[in-house]
Amino acid sequence: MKFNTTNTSTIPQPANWVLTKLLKNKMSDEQVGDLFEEYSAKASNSPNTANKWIARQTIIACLSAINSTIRSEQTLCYALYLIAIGLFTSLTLFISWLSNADDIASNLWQTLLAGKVHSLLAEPGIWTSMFETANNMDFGMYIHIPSLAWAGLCFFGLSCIQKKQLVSQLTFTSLAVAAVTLPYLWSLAYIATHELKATQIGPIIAFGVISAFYLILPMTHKVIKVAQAKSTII
Amino acid sequence: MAEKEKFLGEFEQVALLALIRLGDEAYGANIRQLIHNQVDRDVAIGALYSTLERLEKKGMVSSYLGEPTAERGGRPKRYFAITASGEQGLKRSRDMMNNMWQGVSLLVANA
Repeated sequence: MKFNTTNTSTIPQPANWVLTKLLKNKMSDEQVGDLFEEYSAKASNSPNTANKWIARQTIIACLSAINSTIRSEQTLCYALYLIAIGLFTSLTLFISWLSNADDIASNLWQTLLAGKVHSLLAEPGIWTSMFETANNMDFGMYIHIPSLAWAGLCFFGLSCIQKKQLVSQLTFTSLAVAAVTLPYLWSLAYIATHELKATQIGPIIAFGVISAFYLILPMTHKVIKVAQAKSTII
Repeated sequence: MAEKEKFLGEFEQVALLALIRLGDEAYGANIRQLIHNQVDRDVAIGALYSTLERLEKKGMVSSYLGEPTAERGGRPKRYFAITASGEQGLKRSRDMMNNMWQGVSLLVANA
């Protein structure tokens, strides 16, 4: 089988630009050459059909390039870092708000007493208050000994596991997620199952939130490093 | 089952069979055309190349670049060929399917 390529037609300029310039790093010369050759063969029979065909092929190539970019390891790493930074920033603001707020609306107060920080962060009103209290941030409000102990233990343990490559990438990721979320999940469960006063609830919430605050960035970094070391898509 | 003994996917088998059928003329445009003519399937150029590159990494396909030509905008063809390992993989997949079909009769008539 061989294409009839005696009649060389010029590929439409927009398609040419997309294939040769926009997708320069996504398509090899051979792939673009194949499309040019097929276009040329089709155009010798029916230019209209050939133009429709090359438009379709160009769209498919673009979609494929977008798909592979989104799925690429580097993009996933950036997305993970962005999510982690977003959560870290939210927790920073929340801790500052919790330490400074003295007049909390009753509905927010009830949610807080239930330890449901995730529900609080979903309330649009709280974000205004959080940004207002951001000016009163103090280094001391981010120091919490039990959380420091938990974070240190998890960091040390996972560093050893990472260094000795004791577990698979999936297990490592699961352990890292558990390290970040377990204190918060424990605080939710503990508050839900015990009759506690407001003064007793504070330290429990602090443990759940500040542990996550300490661990979210280092654990994300470790997960990404392990994934990159294994050279696999996350 | 070792990695290289795993059965080939449907499209991998189609691509390898196309290489055998096209012989020395097995390059992207021709492979796409053959698949379109024989199985009425339009394969995206990117999907075809990624499959062939994957098979090449597994040692089932080899490739080399041809000379650039004018009708291809001065771009070369990449010619593909099946290797002995590719033929073995293809045979293994066919034998597996033949074994699975043994004693199977379908109610639907042949089209």
